[in-house]
Amino acid sequence: MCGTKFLRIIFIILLVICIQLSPVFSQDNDKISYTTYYFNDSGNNSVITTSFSLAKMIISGTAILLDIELDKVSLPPIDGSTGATRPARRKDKTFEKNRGQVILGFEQTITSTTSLAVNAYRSQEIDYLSNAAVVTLSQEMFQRNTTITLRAQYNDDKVGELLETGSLHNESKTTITGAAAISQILSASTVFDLSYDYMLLKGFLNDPYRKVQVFDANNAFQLLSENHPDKRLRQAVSAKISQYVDPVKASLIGSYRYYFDDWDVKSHTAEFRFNKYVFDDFILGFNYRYYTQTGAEFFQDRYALMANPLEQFRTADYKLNPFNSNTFGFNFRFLFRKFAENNPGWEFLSKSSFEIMYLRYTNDLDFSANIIQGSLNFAI
Amino acid sequence: MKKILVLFVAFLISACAAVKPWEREKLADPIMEPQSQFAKQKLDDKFFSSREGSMGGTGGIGGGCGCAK
Amino acid sequence: MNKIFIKNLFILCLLILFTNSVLFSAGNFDQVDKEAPDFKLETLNGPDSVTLSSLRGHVVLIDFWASWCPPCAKSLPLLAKLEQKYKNLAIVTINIDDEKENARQFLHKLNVDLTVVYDADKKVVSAYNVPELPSAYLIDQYGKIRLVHSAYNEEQVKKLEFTIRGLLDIK
Repeated sequence: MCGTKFLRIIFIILLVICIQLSPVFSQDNDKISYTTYYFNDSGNNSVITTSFSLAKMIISGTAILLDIELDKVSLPPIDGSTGATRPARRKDKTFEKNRGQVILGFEQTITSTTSLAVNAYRSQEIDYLSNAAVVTLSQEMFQRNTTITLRAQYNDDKVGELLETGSLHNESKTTITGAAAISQILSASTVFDLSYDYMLLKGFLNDPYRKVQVFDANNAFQLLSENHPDKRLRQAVSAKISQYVDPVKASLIGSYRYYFDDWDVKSHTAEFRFNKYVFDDFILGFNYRYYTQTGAEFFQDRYALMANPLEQFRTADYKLNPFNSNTFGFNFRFLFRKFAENNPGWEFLSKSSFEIMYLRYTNDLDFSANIIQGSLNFAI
Repeated sequence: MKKILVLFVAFLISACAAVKPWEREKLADPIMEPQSQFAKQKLDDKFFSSREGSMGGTGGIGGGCGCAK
Repeated sequence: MNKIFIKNLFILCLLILFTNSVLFSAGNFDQVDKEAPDFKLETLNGPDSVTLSSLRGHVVLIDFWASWCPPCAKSLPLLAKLEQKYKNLAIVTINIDDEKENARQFLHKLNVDLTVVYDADKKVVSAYNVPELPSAYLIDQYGKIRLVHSAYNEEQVKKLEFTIRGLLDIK
């Protein structure tokens, strides 16, 4: 908790300093971004997130990256089936949880077409600690028509459980992630992206607070702890095409992702976005996303008590259900370039923008959510 | 690994008809979302990954003006 | 499985880096010491025109830029400073925007006073086979390209100035 408050103070100080100093920044690739995100679902769970990102060239060819994020999660007294969890002893009260996250990194331009970024990541909340190291290599080729990005990440997590006694019991989890992406310009108005993601998780992969109803032959049930396998291999392949539509000054972006893992969850995600200039500096966008997934092989609607419950994989994680979802949304983006041109002293805003996005998410598990995200991006 | 290499070679071959740097005006337009991808990735990490059983597919960085660094 | 994957990813990284360093550099160094393609282009705001061959006998720096190119906002003020510093250096900037008005607004925002010509049909930028934007070509008194300059970091700018001083015979 003290750590989160400290981060919040640092965040506000940095934001104020950087906005004040922004006319002083004069290097390429300097970017400041402030994003706030609000989410509220049908179970009255809410999340407010505020994040601040800074990318600044410190010496020729080297940029420092800093990202700070603060979450506040609020869960109502009745947990229900939202998937949001909290310590059992706080089930009758509204539960609030804060999380702080810091990413610090460096990006080095190795040649005019190659860059390497190294980031350290730390996320902390009352009952979860995550540390990670990320390395990203980016290579442009063929007069910058092709960009290849490779990323490797290692996470070391402590999954905690706040016990009735008030003490914290920790279990370990490690994640190795690899990703490869290719972006290819097909024409003066078309870009094609292809990517592959790989994630291997090992260790404690349960939610320590989630309980599963397990029924015996007499229809009486016990509440047993969730029990997932201690290893999960997850992979995804995705493709995206971005097309500029010249006559109407608009863009169409279509993407598809196929995900599969060794728990037998498979999913298809199709997304479609349309952006159009309404005025010279005002972009209106619409998007639709369809998602469908199969359930995990050990997912059951109703678990029967086995002779040895320790050997039974069982889950109360609704994310391992089969389900479909639809997301509709729209967004406004205002570019400050004309404002900067017409107002002396505000030239530093010429590459900056403000964006607000609203999404409505529904799935066939009777879950729905409203998401509002606003972001201010300063590129100097 | 073989599949990755095949993809790599395929893109090497397919990139023969390159778009010249002076033809990239439309690709550099904000409407093609080169900057918005950051906000979108935050949203994916924040919401969809915690509400659905999948991950990944946020893609790489490309397109844009391709200007000198 | 994961160790093999990481090892393969590492080999792929090395392959990419090797390929880039040998084959796919974004430079255009084969143009150095070649004759600079001649051009005659109208200025952005008026009926006047600039012909490269008419500047034979002068050291000329030509710079290709566009309003949609963020680093161009750094390169144009830099060129204005060079013009102030080296009175015998002729600087001609060539804009390649689709719309002239975008170029005018960009210049107005930067408040620089440079000679700007407009390559409407992009024949000149194509003739120079510009590797990236912005790109500057330093041409000597005999019409030969002596330096192709793209990056605007401190080291590259020093190299450009050093070459300019050499051509202008300034010690």
